Amino acid sequence: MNINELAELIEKQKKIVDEIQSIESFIRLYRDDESRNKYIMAKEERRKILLAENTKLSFMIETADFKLDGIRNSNVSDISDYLEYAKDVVDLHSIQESIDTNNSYIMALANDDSIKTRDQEKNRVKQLEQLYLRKKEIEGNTQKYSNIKFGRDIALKILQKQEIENKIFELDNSIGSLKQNELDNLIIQKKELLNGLKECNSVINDYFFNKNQRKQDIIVEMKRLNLNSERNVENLNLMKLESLNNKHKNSIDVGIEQIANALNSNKQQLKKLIDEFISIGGVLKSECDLLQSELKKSIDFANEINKLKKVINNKKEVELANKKDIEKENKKQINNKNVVKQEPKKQENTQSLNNENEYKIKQDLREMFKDYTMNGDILDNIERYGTSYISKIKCDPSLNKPIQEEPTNFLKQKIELFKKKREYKKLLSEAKITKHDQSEYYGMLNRNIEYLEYEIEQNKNQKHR
Amino acid sequence: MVEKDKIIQFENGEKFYVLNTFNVNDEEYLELIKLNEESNEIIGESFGAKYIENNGIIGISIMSNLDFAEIKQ
Repeated sequence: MNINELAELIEKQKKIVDEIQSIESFIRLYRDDESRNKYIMAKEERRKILLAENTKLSFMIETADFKLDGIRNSNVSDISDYLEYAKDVVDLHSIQESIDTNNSYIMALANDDSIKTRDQEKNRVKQLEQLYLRKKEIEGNTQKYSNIKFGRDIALKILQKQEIENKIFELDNSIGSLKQNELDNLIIQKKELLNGLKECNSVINDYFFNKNQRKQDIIVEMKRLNLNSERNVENLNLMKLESLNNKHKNSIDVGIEQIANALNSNKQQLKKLIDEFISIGGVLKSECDLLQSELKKSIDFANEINKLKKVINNKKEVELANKKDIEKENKKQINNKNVVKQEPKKQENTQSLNNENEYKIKQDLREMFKDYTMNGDILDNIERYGTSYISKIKCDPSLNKPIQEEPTNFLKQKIELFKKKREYKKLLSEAKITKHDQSEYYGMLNRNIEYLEYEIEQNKNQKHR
Repeated sequence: MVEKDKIIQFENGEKFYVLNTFNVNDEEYLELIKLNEESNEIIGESFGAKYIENNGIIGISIMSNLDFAEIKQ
């Protein structure tokens, strides 16, 4: 299961829970109503009847023998006026019926000579007058609906239709989604959803348990790799010191190769762990950042080792070249003793070459550590002081100051000689003289130095005596 | 702080003659000559170094066996 599938599962679960809550809310609302089903069925039946009636009425109205277009095109745009007129029409019909009835009675009473009937006739006339007044009123209103002319039955149907529509509207409001089938379906669906939910929960719980367990394992493994990397860095620092000292080159190379392999292996493992960490989802940012940081550090170390190896290889090449030069020179000396005078020149050239290469190496090292920051005393110092390594000076523990010895006079003389030798070399290198003359002067210089050294040795021997 | 024309020894046993001291930007530089640990004979060319006192550590930062003149530059 990947993170996307998990997300889908969670989303599905959320929808299920929402829907279940909605259903439960609905069911809870009607749970205690025992006649709910009957009520719903009755309502539904009633609704069907009303709808059928409505359809029938609509048909009748549409096909009625009156000018429907006239109604539609009338000035009566307001439905309330329309319905009021329908009522008037209905009233008018009933009034007319009453008038007719009363007229009949009046006619009958007029033919009856009894007093009793006369009183009755008066009452009838009075009623008839009232009916005529109402009829006149309605007919007066009719002027307002000049284009609306229909019979009493139609008016009644219009009123009924209005009433039915109102009832349907109310019923729709009350029924809403209270359809039995729908409700049954929802209950079944709820059961299915609950089963699905249970399965989802089971899968999700198992997954999260396993994921958390695996996450803990990854963290432990990452810490182990981190410790491993730190040890490798310590070893690397030692290798650097030794490599700059030019000691034990072969073993250094082997060591660096081993460190490179170890760091590379760490890098690969961390990369895999990070990928897995991401793939199982729920990645904590801090943990992920930590892993990324470790990976970056590991990559940095690997890069650093590569650079260091390059520098050391350059250095080895230079030394090899120098060695070849020296061997070549020695062979020349053996073959031709007459060219001894040229030796200082060759040595100087070799020395110059050495310095040049050393300078290049130093530049490389400086570049290598230019933007490099890392914890650790040695690397810290390298960063702070440039391309160097640190050697501790023997100190007086009580004063915490370097122990300093006075040189012997003999050593002082040798040092003075050293200085002179260096000074002569400098003067010669700066003097605008031919190479041939330079060789001559170097020969003289060497002889002078040899003489001075001889003198110093003599003085030393005399003092010893 | 080390003085000119004195001999110092590293903890690994190596001995050096302090040929010169310089102060550049408040940092102390030394010119050293390597000596034989037993006989005090000169056994190498001079080279540049930086004197370091940091958190109780007193040491020398060797400048890759380069000529001291380069450091002064």
